[in-house]
Amino acid sequence: MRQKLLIALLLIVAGLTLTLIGRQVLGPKPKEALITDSLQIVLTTPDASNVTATLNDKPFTISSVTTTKSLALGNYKLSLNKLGYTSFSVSFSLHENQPVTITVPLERTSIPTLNAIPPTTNPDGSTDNWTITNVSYFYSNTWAFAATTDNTDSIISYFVMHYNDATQSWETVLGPDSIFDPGSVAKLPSAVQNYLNDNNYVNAGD
Amino acid sequence: MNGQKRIAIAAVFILIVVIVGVVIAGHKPGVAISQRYIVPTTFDSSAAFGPNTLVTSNGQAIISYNYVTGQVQSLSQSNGPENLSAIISLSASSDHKYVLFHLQNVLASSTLGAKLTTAGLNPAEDHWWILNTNTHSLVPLPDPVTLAVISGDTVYGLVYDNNGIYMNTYNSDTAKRMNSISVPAATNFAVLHTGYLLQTAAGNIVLTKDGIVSTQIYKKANLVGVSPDQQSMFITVANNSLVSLLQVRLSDSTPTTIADSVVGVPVMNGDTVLYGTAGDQSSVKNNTDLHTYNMATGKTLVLNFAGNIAPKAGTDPAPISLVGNSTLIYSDTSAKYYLAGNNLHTLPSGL
Repeated sequence: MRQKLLIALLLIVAGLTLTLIGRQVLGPKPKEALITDSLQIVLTTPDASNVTATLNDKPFTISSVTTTKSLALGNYKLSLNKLGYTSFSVSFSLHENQPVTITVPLERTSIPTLNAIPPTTNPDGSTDNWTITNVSYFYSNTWAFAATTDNTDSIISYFVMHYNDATQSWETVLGPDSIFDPGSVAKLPSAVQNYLNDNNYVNAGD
Repeated sequence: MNGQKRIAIAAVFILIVVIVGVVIAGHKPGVAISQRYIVPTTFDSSAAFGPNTLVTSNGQAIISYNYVTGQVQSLSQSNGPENLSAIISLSASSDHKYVLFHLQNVLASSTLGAKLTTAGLNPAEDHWWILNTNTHSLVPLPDPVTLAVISGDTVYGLVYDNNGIYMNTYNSDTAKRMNSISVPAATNFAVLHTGYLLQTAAGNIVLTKDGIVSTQIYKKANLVGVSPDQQSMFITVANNSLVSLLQVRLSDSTPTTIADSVVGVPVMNGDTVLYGTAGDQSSVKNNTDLHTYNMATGKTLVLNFAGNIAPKAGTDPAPISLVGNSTLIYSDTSAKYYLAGNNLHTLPSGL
């Protein structure tokens, strides 16, 4: 009888020891990992100003033309609004190992046209008025390159203009100039940069 | 038989089995290539065009050439000397009704130059043209297309303009634009029944139906083409300095390696891929090997050139196009172009 009790005791001790060793070797049972994949949202507009968005009806922050976020696998609905553009909505599914990119094709509600360049003031206090001779538009007419002549001496000067949706007016970004500084051009949206470079409106330097 | 004898016999038997195994494993199944002809540089842009036939340019016209019978047929009207000598790329519709090609250096005073001027296009710029092989009519695509593909009766063109990037579709007979969708920036694409495979500017392969939602199928790869059943794609991927050719199932992105140490750009014809692999640098031969992989049979065959036409060491043959099961056009470091295969007709004079 005593022998049986001793054997049972030994078995219990052995069992407990094995359990403890097993836990130490294997570690605690891991929590089931949440499987995610990435969502990238690319705006076709030159900037992300005045954008509001929701993902599955919850607010979703978009602060630049390219936004990347890791999300759990599943079905989603993205809705997006930008001042001056039609609203956009799309449904999509996110699967494992297949990241999704949403290219948002925003369209203008109205197409602005550049009719006039604001007068500029010279260092001596005199004012130059500009007559537009030619305009090239970019990004659904929200950016423009304008060739102009000075009303006083007919010298050709160039401007890069941007349409501000909040103020609903054209603002001068570069110019007047006969050729632009490469550093200033580098800050412009890519399509405008390409146009200026392709048409030799950028100072190539020495 | 004593124990030592038995052990010796067993050892010899095992050795034989091992040797046979190594020989079988090391043997590369191949196909013999017995003929090779130097062809004009215009064959740089060529494509399969039915049984034993290829389509290319002879500098004056788009022609079909039956490389077994030697028959040459003009598919377009001759447009004057050197007018079609600067074709950048060329492809044909599967029914051979249309040939799509990308042409530069058109003379403004030529027939094609006049067509461009009439269409309001600048002859000094390069343009994509569609040839109807039945009517011999040639029409230019109206937009500044960077890359075009013909699929069925439709031409698909990737266009970059001031407002964005678009995939346009064009009528093959009139070149009139039919539809346009905004797509992510891409450097290469393939057309599927259900949408497009795009190689994005970032070098990823994505699948999109509408240009809006793009699902990444493979990261950092170059698109080679799509299988005829559209269930898989072929890509090359670089791992350090080594390039591999992969077949990737589109439904779940599962890759299968076809070859490692790939050099040059693989080309496809139907269900067969032609590719080169780096030769053994320690060998005297030290040359690129050319192979075909057939996805229907799953077989890879090395192209074994006959001794008298074997590419010289260091000339590194590069695939240009596969125009038959084992009939190919390749170039080498001497900048020559070759038509190679079996049962080839002597190259006709004037081609």
